[in-house]
Amino acid sequence: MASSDVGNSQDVLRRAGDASVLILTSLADGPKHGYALIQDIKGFSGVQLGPGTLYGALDRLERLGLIAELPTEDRRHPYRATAAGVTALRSHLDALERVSMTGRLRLGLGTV
Amino acid sequence: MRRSQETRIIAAALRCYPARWRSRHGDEATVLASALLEDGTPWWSIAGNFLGGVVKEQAFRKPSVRVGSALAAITIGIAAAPLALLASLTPAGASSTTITIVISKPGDAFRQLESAFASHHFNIAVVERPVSTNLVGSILSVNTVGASSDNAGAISEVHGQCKGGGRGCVDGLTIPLHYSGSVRVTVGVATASSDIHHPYLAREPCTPGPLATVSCHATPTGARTSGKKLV
Repeated sequence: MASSDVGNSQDVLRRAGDASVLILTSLADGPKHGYALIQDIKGFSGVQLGPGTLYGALDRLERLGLIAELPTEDRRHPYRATAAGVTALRSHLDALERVSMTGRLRLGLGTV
Repeated sequence: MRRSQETRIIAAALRCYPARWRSRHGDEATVLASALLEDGTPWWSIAGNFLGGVVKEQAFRKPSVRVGSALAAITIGIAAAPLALLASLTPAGASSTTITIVISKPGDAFRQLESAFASHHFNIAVVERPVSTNLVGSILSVNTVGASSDNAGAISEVHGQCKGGGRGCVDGLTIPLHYSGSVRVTVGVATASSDIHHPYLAREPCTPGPLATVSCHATPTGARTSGKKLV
């Protein structure tokens, strides 16, 4: 099992769910509120997050200290990624990249 | 189906969320749902997704469930607490089913308390007050807001070690499981770190306040043992 744990010690997003990863990725280039998050995520991933899923993930990420809420603007709460959130996203993307490279090698597709 | 009917159904789904969730996200969720409807998202998809969120929210809020790693360090005891201990901490007539919440990370006390109270649906607001290092992470006061008609019992303090090393600071609360009163808890925070996680929350001004409840007096030893560690 040791090999499967490589690099995962810092990957707090591993069990946070896909919605959390998508949200952090969306926030990586600046704060956004709920509707802007849904639109952005749909744009770069093709996934349309439902509003219930969105708020559940936002609450989870905030509890983990990976995002923070900014002051309300016109009844909407923008969120930003915290430093811990950026670090967690970087670790998670590194882990995904390792999986991607392994998969491509095993499929004979070579490295990216 | 007319737009007004769709909106009403979605609003009904939103009302299924706990009050705490609605007070935090309700307004924005309504605006968001309207925008999604305008985009052509089917009303049943929006309402269904909200209802799915309700189920997860309720499941997540079960007292026995570990509530994420941000809360992993908090000590929460849920049980019919040992009677001998309760006798020293709660007044006669108080409910024997209580939750003990103890601050385990003084630097993160605000968030630990807020999360713990919210997860048990207590109507308890947490207010930060900048204090000297010794009192960081201590509960400075517990005030009932308005007339209290709660008959579930009283909130009692758990005394522990002050950050500076002294004993007798209040670092936790024992709360009857069905407590429904409106309460404000003031917690001491370090001035520099207080605005990292909750910039949107109003904070009390940095003025000397009544700190009688945190004077470091002799503490009943073993108070902390009423909590059950989840980590």
